[in-house]
Amino acid sequence: MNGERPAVADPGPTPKSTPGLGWNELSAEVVELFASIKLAMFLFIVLAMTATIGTVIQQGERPETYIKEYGEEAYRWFLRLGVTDVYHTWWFTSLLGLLCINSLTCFYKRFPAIWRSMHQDKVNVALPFIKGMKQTVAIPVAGPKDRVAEGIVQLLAEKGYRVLAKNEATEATIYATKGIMGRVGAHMAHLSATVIVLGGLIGSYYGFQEFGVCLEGQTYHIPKGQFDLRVDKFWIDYHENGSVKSYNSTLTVIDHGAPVTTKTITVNDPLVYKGIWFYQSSYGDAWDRVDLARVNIKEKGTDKVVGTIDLPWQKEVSLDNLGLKLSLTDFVADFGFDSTAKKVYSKTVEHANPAVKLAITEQPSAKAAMVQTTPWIFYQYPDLFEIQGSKYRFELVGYQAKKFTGLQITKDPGVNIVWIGSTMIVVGITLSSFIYHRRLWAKVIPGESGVTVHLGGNTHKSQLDFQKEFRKLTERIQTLKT
Amino acid sequence: MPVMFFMATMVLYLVGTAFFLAYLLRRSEALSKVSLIVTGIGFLAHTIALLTKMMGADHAPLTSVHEAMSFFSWALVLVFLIVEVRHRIPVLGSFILPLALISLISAAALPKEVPTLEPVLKTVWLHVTLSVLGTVGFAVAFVAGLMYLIQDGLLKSKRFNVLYAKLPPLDFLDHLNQQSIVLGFPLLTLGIITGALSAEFARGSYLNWNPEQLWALVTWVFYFVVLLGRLTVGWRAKRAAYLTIIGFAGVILTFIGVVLKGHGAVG
Repeated sequence: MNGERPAVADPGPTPKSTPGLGWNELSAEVVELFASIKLAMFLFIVLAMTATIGTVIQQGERPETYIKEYGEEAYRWFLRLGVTDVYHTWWFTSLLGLLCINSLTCFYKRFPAIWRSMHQDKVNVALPFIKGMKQTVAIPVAGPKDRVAEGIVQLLAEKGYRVLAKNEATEATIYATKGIMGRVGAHMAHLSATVIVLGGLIGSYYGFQEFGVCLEGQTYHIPKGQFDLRVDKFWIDYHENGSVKSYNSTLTVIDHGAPVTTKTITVNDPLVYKGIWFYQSSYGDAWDRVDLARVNIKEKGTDKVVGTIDLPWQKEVSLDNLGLKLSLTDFVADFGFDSTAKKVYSKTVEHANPAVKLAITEQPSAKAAMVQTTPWIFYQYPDLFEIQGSKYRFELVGYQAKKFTGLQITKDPGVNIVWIGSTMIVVGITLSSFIYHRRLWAKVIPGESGVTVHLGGNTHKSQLDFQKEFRKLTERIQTLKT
Repeated sequence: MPVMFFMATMVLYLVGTAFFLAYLLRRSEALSKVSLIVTGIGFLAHTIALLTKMMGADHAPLTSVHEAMSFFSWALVLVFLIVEVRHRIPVLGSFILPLALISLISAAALPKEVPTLEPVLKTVWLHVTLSVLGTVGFAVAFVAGLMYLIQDGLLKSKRFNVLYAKLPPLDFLDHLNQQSIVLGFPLLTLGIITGALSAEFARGSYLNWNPEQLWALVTWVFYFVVLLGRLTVGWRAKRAAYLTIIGFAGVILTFIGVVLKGHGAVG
């Protein structure tokens, strides 16, 4: 997109047969290679092709998944090539690195020329130079030299050209240029590749992305930000038709023990504190606690319900008429038992097999023996265990799950650089697509009757448009009124 | 209301397509007038359908694949009408209208209602609009490339038939091909960036490396290389025609992939 001519078509001054290539020649060749547009195109194509690997082969799965689908031999190759995590392989990163080097070398090699052509006058040219241009024409015009030259300068200025003119005794020379921004834009777009990759790298090295499951009323420490976050409230708003309108969490940042800021976040409206962003990401029922559990108490002998009680979380409740003290001490959503650690845990976050743990103290009368147990009772299997020595059977008939809010916690110090790069790419592409650089030279040479205007010009692209413009300019000069 | 106008558009485009295809094979110029009028009325009906739907909807517009397809068809015909007014080449309609019709029929075949939209996707309409407009550019480039190859084939085999007389000159087609990509590409770039922005604001990461995003990037790179090749190394004429045809085929395949995977929204 930049450069007046493709680098590969350069009639390079470095003959290949030179024996004992010196450092200068070598470095010139290396620069030439890295600055070439062909390399850029090649890299882009290879990057695109390798990026598609990640869409065909699932990324970051467990070994079993790959072996099951592709076989063991294939998986070994996958590991060797790193295709199970393509975007973090050394070769993918290297390709990105090469792209950066390419864009920087290209800038280094070509931009100075553009800079010069922006600031240098190019008015000192000889007639053969104009005659040798891609677009060139000789126009006979009636009128004195100075007036014709003036007319041309005026015409070009009207057309938006930046014009330089030199008037000498024997001839007048005019140089006009327009649309240099088109080429600056091309460089901006090319450099943006480096900027975006840089932003991405900074993000992946110095940033993090975590998912937090937070319960209402709890305070959580954010170690990477060295402050605390309190979840004050979580709720869901609904549309009239019952569909979800928004998820909301009210969060308070507590820094050094003092609340600093409070904000209600919703999807697309995160809280930002010290460069860390808190996004409303999901919500759900907690799997390790409930607000309330309803328990039926049945007499073993008669199987009659003698009492129903709503137990709050971890608070003892006394039922004096039955001689019971009950407390809800634990909850799991999907009961699992780790036999080595002898611990109960929730196998999944789904409420597939919910169970509560009760602490029961039973003493029907002062003289009777006291029974103390801590059984798990299951929502789906009410008759699973019998409590020895107890008059009662306990059934879990329902519970009110505690809602949690899922917060996406991220820090990406590179993100602004990525946005800068994105802006550069859009502005650059737009400039270089719609503006093209044109240069015109004219020499007004007095002849026997009137003058001859030698007009020549070139552009680095859009030859067709330029041809048209050149024709129109020729016509205007032909009919110049002096 | 919108459904009625939508159906009317479909019927009108069907008739328009039939006329335009007939126009391709006959020496009558009157046929092109009729096809243009039918297409114009169809476009009007479609505009009304889109506007009434937008005003009646309680969710953000352009969030389902159905709406995106419908909008694509609308923008494609709009571009055709603009080119037609400026350059008078009704034969373009013989290529573009079938495309608009197919897109409209696919839109009709897809579920019209947005299945309870996640709040995440409320801001994507800008991303969808820009991406669709970019794709329209690529569709026009595809059509120009196709016409170029046909015209080129006719010229080479010296078959100066009706079709040859109706197709515009090669350099015009090549120019149209270039202009479409030059216009479409920045729009797609903006589309991708706005998509990344809304992902950033919804989930906290602008790139998730998921297949949809990657294919969008691959498409972008492809057209970037095509554009770069054209502007610097001189990939013009037949090569550009072939590349834009391949590119658009890729776009369609990607799109079908996205739809088949059952995503409620584009991107």
